[in-house]
Amino acid sequence: MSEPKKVGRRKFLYAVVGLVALVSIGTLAYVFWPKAEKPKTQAEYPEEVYKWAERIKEKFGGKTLTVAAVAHPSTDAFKVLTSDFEALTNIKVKWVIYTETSYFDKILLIASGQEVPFDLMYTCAEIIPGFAKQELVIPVDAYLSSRELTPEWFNLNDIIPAYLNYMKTDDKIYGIPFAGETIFVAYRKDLFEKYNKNPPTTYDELLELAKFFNKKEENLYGLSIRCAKSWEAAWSWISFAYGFGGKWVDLNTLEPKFSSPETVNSLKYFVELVKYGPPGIEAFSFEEAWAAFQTGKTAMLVESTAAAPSIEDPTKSSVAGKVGYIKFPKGPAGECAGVWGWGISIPTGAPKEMREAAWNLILWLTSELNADRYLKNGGIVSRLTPLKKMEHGYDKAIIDSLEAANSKLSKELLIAYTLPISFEMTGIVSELVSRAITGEMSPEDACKQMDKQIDELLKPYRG
Amino acid sequence: MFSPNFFTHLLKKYYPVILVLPAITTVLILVIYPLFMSLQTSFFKWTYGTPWSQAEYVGLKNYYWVFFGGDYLFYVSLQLTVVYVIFQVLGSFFVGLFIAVLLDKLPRGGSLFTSFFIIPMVIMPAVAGLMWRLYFTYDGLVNYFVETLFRIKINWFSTEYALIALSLASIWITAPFFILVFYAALTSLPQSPIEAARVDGASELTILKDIKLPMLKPIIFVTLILRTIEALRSFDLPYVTFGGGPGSATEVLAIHINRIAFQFRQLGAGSVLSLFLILLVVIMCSLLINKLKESWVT
Repeated sequence: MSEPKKVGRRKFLYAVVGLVALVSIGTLAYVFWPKAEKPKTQAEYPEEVYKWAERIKEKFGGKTLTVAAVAHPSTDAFKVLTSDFEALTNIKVKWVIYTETSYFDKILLIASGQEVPFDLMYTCAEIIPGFAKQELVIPVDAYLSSRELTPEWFNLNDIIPAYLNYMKTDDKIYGIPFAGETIFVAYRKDLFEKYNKNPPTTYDELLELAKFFNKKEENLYGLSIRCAKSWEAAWSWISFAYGFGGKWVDLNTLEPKFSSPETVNSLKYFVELVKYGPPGIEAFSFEEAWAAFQTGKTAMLVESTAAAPSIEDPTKSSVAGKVGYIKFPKGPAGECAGVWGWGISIPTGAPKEMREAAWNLILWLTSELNADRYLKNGGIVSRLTPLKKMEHGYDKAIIDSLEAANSKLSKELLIAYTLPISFEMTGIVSELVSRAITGEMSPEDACKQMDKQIDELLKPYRG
Repeated sequence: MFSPNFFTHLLKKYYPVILVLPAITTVLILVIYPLFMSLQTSFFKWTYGTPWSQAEYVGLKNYYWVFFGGDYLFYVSLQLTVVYVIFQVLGSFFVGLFIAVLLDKLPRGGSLFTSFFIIPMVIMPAVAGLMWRLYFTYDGLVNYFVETLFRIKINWFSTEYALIALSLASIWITAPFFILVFYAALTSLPQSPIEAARVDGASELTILKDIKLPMLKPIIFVTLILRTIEALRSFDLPYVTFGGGPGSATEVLAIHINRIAFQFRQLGAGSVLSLFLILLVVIMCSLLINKLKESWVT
């Protein structure tokens, strides 16, 4: 047996140097080797998002998605998010924006067509049941249940259930909500402290406070609330109607219940409440209702929770930082707060080959992944986690109002509001509430007329 | 049989028909067909957004519903439309005539001022409507002037004032039409009778009243009729400014039709109302045509 050869010192040194050189070259090559370039985006995303985007790019890159939308703070936020979607997937997104007032008329006409010129469209609590019944929008449950089509970063479970519910009909989901809202009260903390008053917790207190603050100071009125004839008067009144123990429609018999004493009383109360608003309140749409409060003209604002970010924005509101928030007051029959909001759906008549691409855009815009950027850019919250992270003090009031929105009365209200005739019903109710507010007819006569007209609409559904 | 002469003969015989054929086709497609569709729809109960196959024949029920109490706002709306049309047409007529006479009196620069006055006419009514909606708010521009002049503030969005506010906004938009037409007419009037009257010592007011206005009569009549037709069917400005509200304060006929057909989704009843509006416009048009015939004869 021969002895093992001894490695010389020099050779050992060469080997070490060689090894070090190899490692160094490897490291340098790793650092400086040109990598596959990531698309330029405004934000950084986890690796899985890039992989997801790459897959979509291969399938739909170079194509265009058209979205029918309304002018809304969330649309502005979506537009910001869209630029990264376009950069990642090479899909172009075209926004066709309507005003809220004209949208309902137009979208019904467009969606009823054989070929819909939009891949996506905004829908909302009022139109989903009717659209679902007429099969004008597709259910998205199949997409949601597929792990391949719905990545984990979307997180459906984080969407506030009360909001997801308004996109559901017959246990199927017809789109994803993105700007949910319920009703609450914003009040001027400084004025309430000055006059040693507590925020309202009941309807009686709300009325008393509105009376108290009305003309208490120069150019100050009790409260601001939307009362415009289009659909907004109905929006404001319905929560009071159910809170009083009244009803619009008996859901078991599908009989209108506008003439019940509770419903009539609620309208009387509402008409009385509106008297303590600023001049012109009878024509207030939500913009004017917000503006009156934000310019310091009213002590309270009974409005959608969507108003909160705008109230706290010092560039838009002279009362930012001076406002307290409280859930919608309790009525004689209990807590009740309506839930409304926008969602985004895929029209049945849209090009079928683009449905998956459209679904991916929905995921991108409404996902938990982009929730923070969506909110930062003015989007209205519809997820629980970002809501809890808010620091303005209105988060608690919104969460409390959402609890109220889960009450038995609120659920009944939501179903009534989303009957297939809700679109026409809201129009009729709004018009008559508006006439009661202006004194053209008494609340009793307005309710009688509602009963008569809604009865005609409900007849075909009673079987 | 089909000799070249035959075709030449045919072409000669039907030459006038060939010339008017494009116009007739256009009218058939864009006017007669929709009119026929409206007439047909008026006999059906058809919910907006549902296919035509679901429409149900109801005979004259829609007519009965509209004219005999079912549509409780129809007569209110008709009344409002009449008031609105009178306010708008007469208001813009007098404003237009007044400014046109003033412009005519200017030694020079009349055309320049006319271009300035035309601005409201070229602004889209929807944009003008939004602008006036802002001006009419309680702390808006209109109340600023009203308060400065009369020490009061008006709630223009109340039922008492909404129609007046709407009429004022519409006068602002439509008066330039009268300014333009009357100014052009005044500048092209024959000067000899006017100069003769001046020589005879007639005052400017007498000249206007007894010479200029009688000479402008056909133009005044035609413009009034044209504006009345426009005012009857005006939708954009009332819709954007007040949306028919508050209550029913500004629910003119066109707004009412829109609400019945598209908000309440009753296309049948909406068609009845549309046909009624068309009938009103046709009556106005026949008046216009008769008057034009008279002026051509004379």
